[in-house]
Amino acid sequence: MDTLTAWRNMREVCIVGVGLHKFGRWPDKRVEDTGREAILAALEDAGADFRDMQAGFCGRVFNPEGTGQRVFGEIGESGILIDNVEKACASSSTAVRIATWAIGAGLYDVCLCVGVEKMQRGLVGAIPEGMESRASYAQLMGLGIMPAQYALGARRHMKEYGTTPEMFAQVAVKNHQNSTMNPYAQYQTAFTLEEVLNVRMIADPLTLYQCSPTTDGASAAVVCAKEVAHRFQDKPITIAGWASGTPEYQSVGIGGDVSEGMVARLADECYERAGVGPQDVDVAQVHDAFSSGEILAIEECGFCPTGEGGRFIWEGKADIGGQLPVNTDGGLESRGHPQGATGIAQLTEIVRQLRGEAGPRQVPGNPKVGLTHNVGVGGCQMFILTR
Amino acid sequence: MSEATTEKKRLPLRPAGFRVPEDPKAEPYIIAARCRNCGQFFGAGRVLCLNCGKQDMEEFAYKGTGKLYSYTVVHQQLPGALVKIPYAVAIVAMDEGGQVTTPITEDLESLDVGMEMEVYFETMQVDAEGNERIAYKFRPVKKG
Repeated sequence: MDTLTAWRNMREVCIVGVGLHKFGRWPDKRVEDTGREAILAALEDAGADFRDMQAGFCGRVFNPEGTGQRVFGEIGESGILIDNVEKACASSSTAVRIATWAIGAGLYDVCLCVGVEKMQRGLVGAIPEGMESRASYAQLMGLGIMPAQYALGARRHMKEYGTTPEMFAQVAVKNHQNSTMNPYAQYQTAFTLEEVLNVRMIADPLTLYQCSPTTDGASAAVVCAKEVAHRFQDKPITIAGWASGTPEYQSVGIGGDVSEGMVARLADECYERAGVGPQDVDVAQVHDAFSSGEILAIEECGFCPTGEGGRFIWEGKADIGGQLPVNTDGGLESRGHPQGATGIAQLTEIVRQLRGEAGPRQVPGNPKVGLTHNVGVGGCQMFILTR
Repeated sequence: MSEATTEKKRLPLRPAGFRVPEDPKAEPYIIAARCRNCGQFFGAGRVLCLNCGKQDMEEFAYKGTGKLYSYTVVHQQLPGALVKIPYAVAIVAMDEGGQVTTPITEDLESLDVGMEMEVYFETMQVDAEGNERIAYKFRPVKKG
């Protein structure tokens, strides 16, 4: 039995409730607090009670063992299965995929998924103070910092396809503009292209506004079998396809988050499982931890030919009013990036778009098919959602 | 009471995929793990070949040249790092095969994807015993 056939034989699964805790800096809130608020919002959205939930999955990265047990424990202690899920920045989307498999297989009817994170400020990968003797070679020699990885991908794209620093900057202009209409986003300030280009350089060509921040926040989703969805929501959104994987061996490459073919391979699997193609996608959320990530993802998801991602952005095709709106809620760069919570936040925006509930961010034309692309340190989790 | 004379040595900053010969006149060199079965190159210390799956690696001494696969000039100082901004983080595709991730601290304005690069070694610290702790960097090969 191959995965595609097995997926087609599974029950239809949908998302019937979504909720967020505003992303930002919440020094006085624990993940138990932000998680509780996101869960209560998702339950209310679904018209559901915690006692309806038959299993719980908690995506988180830096928070320790037992995080899910404590977060769900804020709401109830009903004896259900609770798993903690980690795939770095793709943890909570992975939590949803595990729930999808469990429901699709007929093991459960209704599951609750939550993503939480509380993060330190500053560069991920820095040497903690007083720990210099434990610092690795890579840390001492200034290597291995996350912006550098994405910048290396940007530089090759510039060399191979003529993509310009202005095109990468335009991703940030678009996403920061979109987030002014998103009350849950960490940042709600629009910037001009000149402002994005001239602000502090982090790792060339990526300037400060092109880098996602460190963030506290939480997101939650109620996932259920289609056959019981009517109990919760008159606009259930179907999880039509999914794909997850890691990069295949290559003898020379940037590695990590920078896909050099991995996302294209997984996108093909995701489309095949969903029974749609890239031309059918009406709205997308891609992993713009740094602006260059969005341009590379647009190409590998098949929204435009390889090498044309920069022009796609530059010509406004990924704007809310454009051919294929991308990151309508501000993306990682502006909505923020609490690593454990980002995955379900992406799904939340697609659900709202497909329901027609995205307010001033609403993609016109009655979108029916959405895609999410979420990357985590070499792993990737993608979904196709449909109405 | 006699005092032992401690010989000051060259040592790696940290164990990190390069060898520093005892002979002070001999050049240090970066090493790879090379699969004896299929010839693919990996970082030193790899035990199983990711290409063919065999467990038959040998230590390979790079001659130290390669082509610049990509680079970025970093402008945000990583606290605690010995390399100070501005510097580039780069991947060099080594001539024999495989790759090395390296800092570049010379000729940053001249960098271009595809250009020929060469390794050199630098003392980054002197430790409590007076030993020189060295690390590798790459720089563009000067033409003509």
